[in-house]
Amino acid sequence: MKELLFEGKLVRLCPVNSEDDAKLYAKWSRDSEYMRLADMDPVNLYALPLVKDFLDKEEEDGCNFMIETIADNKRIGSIGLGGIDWADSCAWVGIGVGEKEDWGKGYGSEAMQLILKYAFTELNLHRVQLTVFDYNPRAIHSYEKCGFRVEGKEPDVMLREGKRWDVINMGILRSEWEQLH
Amino acid sequence: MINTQLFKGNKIELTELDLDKDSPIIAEWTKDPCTFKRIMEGKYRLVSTAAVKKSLTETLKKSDERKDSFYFAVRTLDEQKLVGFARFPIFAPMHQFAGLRLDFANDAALKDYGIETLGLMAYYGFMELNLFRIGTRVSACELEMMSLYEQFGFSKDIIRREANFHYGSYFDEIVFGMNQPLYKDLYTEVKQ
Repeated sequence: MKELLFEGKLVRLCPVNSEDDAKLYAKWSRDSEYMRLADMDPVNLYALPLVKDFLDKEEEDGCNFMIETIADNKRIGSIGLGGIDWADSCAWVGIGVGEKEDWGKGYGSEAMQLILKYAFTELNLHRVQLTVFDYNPRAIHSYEKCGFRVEGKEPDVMLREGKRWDVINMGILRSEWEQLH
Repeated sequence: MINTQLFKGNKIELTELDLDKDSPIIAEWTKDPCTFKRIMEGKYRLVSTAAVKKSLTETLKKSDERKDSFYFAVRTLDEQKLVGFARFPIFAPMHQFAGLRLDFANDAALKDYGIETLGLMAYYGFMELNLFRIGTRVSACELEMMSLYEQFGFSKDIIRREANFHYGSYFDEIVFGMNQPLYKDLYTEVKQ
């Protein structure tokens, strides 16, 4: 019973190659609209060696992948499981499609499906969770499509552009994922 | 003139940690898995006084260098007995947000000193750190701790289903929070 765990119909997950991928990260970081979807931390720009160090450290700490299109072998974003608590069998997932022209094509949703399969069938996790900002309804919809459920929100926790925003928490249990597949 | 004493309550006060004296006491508290998880890193296990002291020393050093967190011992006013450990280990000034963690010697100490400790921390957070929001998370197996936050007026904002595994079962993890407008409605008239 062998299958290509990291290969979907539209995208595949690939190992992070910090030498080359640091340049992509640096390029995506210059798009502040994208960066403000990814993190609550202040948007900032970092020199290439720092980005490379960050990616190398991420490689040691978590399960991180680049998202590559199958049609043209183009690296369009990244996805990873972090903060894995093995006793709780629980992990956080983060995803970003840095290439804007590739938004809305289903690449992110499929990458999420692939990493959930990895989380539940290979890492034997019980639960995967994420946070998303309320100004990112496209992502919320995509996560719901993958089976995540909204578990609540931290109201007005984030201050950006002089306005307060909610941070929504979503989670999926292995039993729920299994029912969907 | 501002003459509020931020760290002094009626029965307890917040003080700096005394690593030599407090570490063995806190090490004892970490026998509780939920307390362990809030104080130490890695898998739940029994830890020595030396390990707790090392961890706290590193934490306080990092906090001092980065100026991004705040740690207090909770001591009784009469005997200066350590009864709790209160801190904001997460502080995001950009968003005026901080994450709060409280631990107590036992359920009796939580019952006796919890509300007052939480009151001092909330006042410090909202009135000194100028926070808009204080958040915290508690495992649903910690009934007394959940009740403390609810009693103070924190709202149950998120239920992370089956996110904690203790005593052979999965428990929900509850994220509680309070925003400054509610805090001011509930408390500032009394304080000032």
